[in-house]
Amino acid sequence: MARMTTASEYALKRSKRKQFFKNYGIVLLFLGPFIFFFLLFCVYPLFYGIVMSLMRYNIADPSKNEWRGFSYFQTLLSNSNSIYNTEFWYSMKNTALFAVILVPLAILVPLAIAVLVNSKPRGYKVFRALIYFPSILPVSASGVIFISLFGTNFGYINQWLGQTIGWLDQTTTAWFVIILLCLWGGWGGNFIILSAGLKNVDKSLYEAASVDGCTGIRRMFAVTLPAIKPQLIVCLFTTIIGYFGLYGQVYVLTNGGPANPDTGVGTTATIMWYLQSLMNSGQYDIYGMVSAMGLTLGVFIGCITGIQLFLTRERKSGTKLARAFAAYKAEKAEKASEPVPAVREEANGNE
Amino acid sequence: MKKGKIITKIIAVGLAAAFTAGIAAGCGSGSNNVQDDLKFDEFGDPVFENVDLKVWSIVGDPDDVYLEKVNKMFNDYYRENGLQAKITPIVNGDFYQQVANTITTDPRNAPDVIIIHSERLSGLAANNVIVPMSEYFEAAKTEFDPDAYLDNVMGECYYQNKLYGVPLDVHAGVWFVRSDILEKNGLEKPTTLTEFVEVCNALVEKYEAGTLWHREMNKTNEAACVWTQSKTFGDNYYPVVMSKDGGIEQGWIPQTAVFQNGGKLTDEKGYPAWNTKGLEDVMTMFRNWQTGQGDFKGTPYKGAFVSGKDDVNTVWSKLASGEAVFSCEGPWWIEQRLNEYEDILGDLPDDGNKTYAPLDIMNMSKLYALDENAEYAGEIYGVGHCFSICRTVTSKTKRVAAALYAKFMTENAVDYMQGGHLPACKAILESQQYKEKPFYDRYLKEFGDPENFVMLGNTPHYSAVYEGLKNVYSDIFNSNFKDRTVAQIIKSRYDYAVNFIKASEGL
Repeated sequence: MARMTTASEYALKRSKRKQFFKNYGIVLLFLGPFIFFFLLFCVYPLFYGIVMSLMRYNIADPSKNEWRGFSYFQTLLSNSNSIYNTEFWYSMKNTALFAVILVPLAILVPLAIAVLVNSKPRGYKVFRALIYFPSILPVSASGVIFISLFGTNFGYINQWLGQTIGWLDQTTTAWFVIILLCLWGGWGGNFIILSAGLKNVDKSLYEAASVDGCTGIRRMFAVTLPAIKPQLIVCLFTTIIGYFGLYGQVYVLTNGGPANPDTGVGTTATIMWYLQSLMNSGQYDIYGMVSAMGLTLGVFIGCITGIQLFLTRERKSGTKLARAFAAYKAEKAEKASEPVPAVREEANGNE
Repeated sequence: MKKGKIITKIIAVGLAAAFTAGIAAGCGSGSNNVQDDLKFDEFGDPVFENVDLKVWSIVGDPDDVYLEKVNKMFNDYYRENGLQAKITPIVNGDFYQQVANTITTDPRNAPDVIIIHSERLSGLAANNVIVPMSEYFEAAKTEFDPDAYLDNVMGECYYQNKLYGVPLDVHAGVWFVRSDILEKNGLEKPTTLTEFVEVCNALVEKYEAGTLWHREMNKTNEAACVWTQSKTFGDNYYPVVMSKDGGIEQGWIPQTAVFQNGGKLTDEKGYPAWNTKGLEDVMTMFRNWQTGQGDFKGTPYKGAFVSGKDDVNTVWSKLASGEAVFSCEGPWWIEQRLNEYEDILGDLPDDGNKTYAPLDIMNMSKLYALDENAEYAGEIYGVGHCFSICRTVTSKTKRVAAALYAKFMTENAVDYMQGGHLPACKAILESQQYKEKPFYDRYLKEFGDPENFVMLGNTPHYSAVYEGLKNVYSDIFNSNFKDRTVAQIIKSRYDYAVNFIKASEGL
């Protein structure tokens, strides 16, 4: 027989519940929706992907799914006889080379423009709007603009030049057009972040630098860049991660081509394009392998991000500089035979 | 308990749930259980009560309109029996992916019947997307006679000796010909490869001499439609448009070249078998057509026939401008194009007050046969459509209805042929109704004998076999591979196709 709950026990439980909601209700209210959607759209697909990567996963007929353990990862990492291994790393190489070329450009060009606009020339607000304009265009639209420009038979550039250059048919020129589109279509985001950073640089630092005799260039390196370092780091992170996912521009402009007869993927195939092309290949049991590739890519990007974090970490000097400064002052005071005030370490921060 | 601990707990529970759901989702099931709900009336016919068939079709614009006409006939015929069908064209290129995804993840919205390319049937059957059909014809007490259909297309509807589809049609890419330019210059439409080369040589020669008559098909500028002999197209004149990336050229020319020179596309295992000497010779000829170098059976080329820079955008524009006389396209555009050219140019006379039929078509028979007298020289690579039933149809009544639908649609598809297809059903081919249709005389007759169409062959490795050969064609026109011999290109594409199949088998 079930035990009866006493009135005091009930009251205690009820008050505990009330207290719980009083304490945590607001937290749950604000955090709940986020946690729910985060779990649904980020965590669940991630675990689903991990499970898929361990299986021969058939999207047409789940009854044919079979466990494969880590064999797909093994293939990707060590079996160079498999076309999945060679094509995966070929696409990764393409993507990495693209990132190496584009990322500096995608930060330096917006930085240069931001510095120019920050000097507030006449009509700078119009410039600011125009510079950001390409970023509001969808990739498909800006891609069509670029195809109209660089098309072989009817492209404006070829018509102006009176040539029939296959801009998108040659590997080098095709990459050039892709990079141009990425740069033009993507500089707006970094421009806005860096402009905001530049606006917040303390003006007194520039005044002090001028008093110390800094020229324009020196001021840029000694004041501006250190002051906007946090924004630069944000740009660096988002740009690298973003361009490792390069897909739309390649899809619209070259669809992975020009062809490479030695592999199934073209010479402008990036890793995201390759994964997408595998999923659309009509091979229903490729999804496990694609998931393994996606996770390997994720780990790879994670490693790059880790290296970036390490290289851009806040370097701390402790009290070393303060002590050196105190010693310098003491030495100077000694030389001048004047009494020197003691420098307390804690006054210089205890970092 | 601290707030942090509570939040940690919530997140931990969520993660555990997501992980469990992830594993559960990975171990789904593809059940084929069929509910035996079939009933018969007093005459022994199956009874359908409000059976609505959802049909997804790969047949898109412009021929979906004609397919819908046949579907309407079916709906009218079976309305009182409580059986109706609704066709949804899915033509965005992901058809087969969408079908597979939907029947697994959203079976309630999955199609009951799919109209597919018959060359994809083996792959769909191997992956349990579609089901064998014979038992449903038996259950419907309706005889299904495979001999009532053309052997070549019927052959692609079997997988492991079981019937998985009912064939609707067979079709192939065709050459559009500026017949007015040929006639005005005293030339005739070629019927063999030798004649094709002769005509192209004559056109090039005339252009270089400045004596080639040509005219534009221009909707907005009638003045441009006047006959001229000027060298309007610059120093280089190319009478043939062969788009390097056009799906029709890639999808029919190399395949037909293999067949017309005694080869086949697949072997008995379903692996590619197109790496033949015949293919190499024809592809070498295409290379020569780009440079104008070399000869054809001892007759030197008078110049280049194709520019090597044509793409899908120039297929129609060069034909319309009169620069090109031959251009390859899908048969489904025939009616529109014939109408367009005839409307604009049909009644425009030359100086001698003579009018010309501006556009004609020719099939690919013997156009890539190096030995025009060989028994296989007239073969054309054919692609068919067929009807299949999806495994997600769990009601036996519905499966029977779907089988009846497939049979009805294929046996009554005369109107559908207006879209540029030849019927797979022999009864239609022989019927007066079909032969009396205006479109039969106007263009279907030009397609050739559907018995001469040869199909890909039953292979579950469609992508590797078919795409590999398409890539050979593209590579021949790719300036990046000028340094590679044709044999090297074929070998690398063939090796890749085989490796691709082996890798996918080893997954």
